[in-house]
Amino acid sequence: MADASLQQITQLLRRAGDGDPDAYAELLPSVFSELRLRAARSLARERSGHTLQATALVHDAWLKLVDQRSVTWKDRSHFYAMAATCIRRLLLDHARRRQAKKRRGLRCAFPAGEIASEPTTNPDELLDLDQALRRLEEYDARKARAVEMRYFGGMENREIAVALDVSVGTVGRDLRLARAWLQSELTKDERGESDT
Amino acid sequence: MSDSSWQALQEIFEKACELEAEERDGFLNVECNQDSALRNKVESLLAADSCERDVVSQIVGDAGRRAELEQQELDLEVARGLTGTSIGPYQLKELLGTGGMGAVYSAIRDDESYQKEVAIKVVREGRLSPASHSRFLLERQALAELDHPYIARLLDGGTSSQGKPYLVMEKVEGEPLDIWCDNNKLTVRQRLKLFKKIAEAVHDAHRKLIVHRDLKPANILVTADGTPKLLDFGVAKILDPAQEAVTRTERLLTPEYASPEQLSGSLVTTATDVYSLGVLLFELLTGRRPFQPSTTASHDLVRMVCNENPPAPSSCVPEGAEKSRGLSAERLKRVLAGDLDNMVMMALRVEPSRRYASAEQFAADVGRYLDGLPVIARKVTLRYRLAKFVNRNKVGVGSGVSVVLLLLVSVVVLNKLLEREQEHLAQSRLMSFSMLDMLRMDQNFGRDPRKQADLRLLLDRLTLAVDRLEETDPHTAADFLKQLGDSYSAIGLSPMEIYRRRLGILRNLDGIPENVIATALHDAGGVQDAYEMRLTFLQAPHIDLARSLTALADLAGEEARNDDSRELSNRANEMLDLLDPDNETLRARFVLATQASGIWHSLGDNPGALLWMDKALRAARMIVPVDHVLIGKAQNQRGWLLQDEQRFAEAEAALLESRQALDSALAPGHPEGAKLRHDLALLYKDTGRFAEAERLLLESEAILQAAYPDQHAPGSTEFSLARLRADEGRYAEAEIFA
Repeated sequence: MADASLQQITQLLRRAGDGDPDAYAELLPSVFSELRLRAARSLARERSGHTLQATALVHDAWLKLVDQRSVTWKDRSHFYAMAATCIRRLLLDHARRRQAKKRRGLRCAFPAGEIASEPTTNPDELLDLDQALRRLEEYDARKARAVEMRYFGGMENREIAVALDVSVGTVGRDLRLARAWLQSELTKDERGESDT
Repeated sequence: MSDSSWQALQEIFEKACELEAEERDGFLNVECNQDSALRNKVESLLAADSCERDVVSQIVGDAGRRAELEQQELDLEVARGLTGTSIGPYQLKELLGTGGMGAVYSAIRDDESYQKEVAIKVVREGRLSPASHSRFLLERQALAELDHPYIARLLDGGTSSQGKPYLVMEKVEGEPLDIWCDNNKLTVRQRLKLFKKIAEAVHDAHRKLIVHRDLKPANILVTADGTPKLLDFGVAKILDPAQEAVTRTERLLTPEYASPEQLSGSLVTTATDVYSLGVLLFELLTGRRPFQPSTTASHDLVRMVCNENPPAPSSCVPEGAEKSRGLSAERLKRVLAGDLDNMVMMALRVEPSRRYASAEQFAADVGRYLDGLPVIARKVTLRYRLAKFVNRNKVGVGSGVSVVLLLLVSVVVLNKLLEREQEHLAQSRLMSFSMLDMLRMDQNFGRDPRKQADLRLLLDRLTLAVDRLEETDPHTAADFLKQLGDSYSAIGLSPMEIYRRRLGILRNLDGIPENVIATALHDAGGVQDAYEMRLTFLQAPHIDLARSLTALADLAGEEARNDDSRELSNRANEMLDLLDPDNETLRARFVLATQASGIWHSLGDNPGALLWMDKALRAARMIVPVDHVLIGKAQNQRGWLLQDEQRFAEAEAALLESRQALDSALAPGHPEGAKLRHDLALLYKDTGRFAEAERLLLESEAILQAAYPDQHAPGSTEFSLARLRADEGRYAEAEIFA
């Protein structure tokens, strides 16, 4: 990537950090395409959990896309927050594609990597989670953002606090309520299904 | 759900969370007031809250793993599609595996006599980006220069008709290192011998300036006769001896074996391979890797690796590991404890410079262990750990640092006390309580200057504890008072009283060296007396004499003896120039130059003040990193001196660097950041950049409001804003009339 666009992205990030919605909208596609490129490679490697991979991935993108000489930790939090949105979209794309070709029955015959632990949830649950998250967003957009950053972006509470411009304590409370709410929504669906 | 009921739900939930389980029922009866729908909702939230299982985390984690698998399947499909085709003169027979850059196949030459099977690595993308292409070419060159019995040979390389680069390598029949060791039930000694060979091979590559960068069991095969073969120098790069001996790269590696510097994007050197060798040995000995983040929770390998010391191998032998090593679990732990623990942990230190100096040194230490000789690896000391703690907990200047400092003190004192007699246990306990308090307070320190009041209380409490200590153990009490005094001064309170008390104690003790007394006297404000005393036993030039002169210059300045003050400053400066510019000297020079800059400025000599500040900045740059608060403060002061000199461009550069340094060194919302923004705003105002000035003033105001919500009267900032707007108005008018 040429130095000019490096500069440009760094500046966009600054502006996005200052609350400029246009800069945010301009930045998102670059981050998204970079992450998608990298996800194709990195997600496919080695046995380890998603959070780890996501964080490493975002970190890679951060190092590559942003001029490290002129950024602060604040820029970094905003970048990570944006990346969390991108990863959510990437995973949803995967889940939808998977639904679409369910019956093709592709098998992985070559042991290129192992799964750390057997999935305990079923693939459609990500779509349910996404729906629930959208409902939460209507009640309380900030909590939904915090969930996205925490679970999809692997961000720590203090980083989320910087990105949302609230205290760490607020993030902790937001996440606690949001997690409980999402959990009760998701298990309600489970219960509902088993009743019928 | 309406906004108001969401609000109510949230409030009741948060309050209920604070209560004990048995109190909740009554609380909900009152709060929900017959609203059974609301109550059901709150109860289901509370039930979900108390549930251990984190469904959201599991769903996201599983989705991530599924996405990984799906991508693997896609890659495999593509890679398998190439079997049977030819690339250059080679026919691809079987897919052996896929990796970071592409796929590896077994192959034979189509054309002529050379019928031996080879391994071919084909880069995945048809078209390589220029960066990847040059990396590929480098890899070829690097490997071609390597000729070692334990490193797989590069035989050939080229570009296919479709432009895909490929490498032809010696095909190794073997099993990955970890599996081979377990399958053959290698004992700890046998594992160490094998490891030593690997480390020596790595060192041989290092001598040719090739860093592997991706050492892991899967990249080390062991043949049937027990020979290790290092494969896949896929990310190796030739370190150019003409440039620096180090290089930065885009990452393409396996996070579990990566070093802190790789994960944080810092410089990669041969020390990086030493780290990976450490992970490798850890795994060979214990059967697991040093850091095992749980897969779905918030744990984050990157942060663990970069911030934490790994556990000792002997402390984490997983169940079953002993079986493949021919020992009982207890016995295995005992074998590992001590030297082997120290050796592995030495290789795994976060700072590259504190690891084994080379893979060879690591190998040699393993050799010494096998021969029953003393090893060079030592346990990490308490002092080092505390230093790490300080670095990790970089909070605001003043306040935050002193919390950490206090913690250090308490730990040191505590140790001292525990070493001595039982009767001090009461004090020890008090200290440890205080320590806990302080740690708790440290969390939000730099963010909230009001916490300084709390800190002060704690310091006062510790000072009281010293009362009792003074009778039983005056030496320790004196040490402690010194640290307390430093802490008071770090949060901007006068340490004089404490230092005087300390001086009193020291003077009543026998056998205290005179330089200690002189320094205590100096600290306690007896600057002139301390200077005279020092002259009796010190030879100029000496750092303590320079410090005395500096303090005397300050005193003279306060007493408006201006000529004395300048003369003393110059003498201190000349003396410091004669000393070796080590850390202490540079620090003393920073203190002197900053102080002298103030003196010159107050006497109206702005250019002189600026020269001093330049000196201070130069000293600071040699002792602290660029984003250190000292740099921030020095550049801040330089900034407004330059502004007074109408050197606006330089002033702006200085203030911008100051902002960069302060923002990264201080906790967010620290008032120092507000002050700096205010200065920068005044500069912009003076140069007619009103919009930027206004934005900065508002930022500054917001920081102060947040920092002092109760006390901050919208004062100076507001005033500056008003002036700014007035100026702006005039400016605009002036333009109209021009």
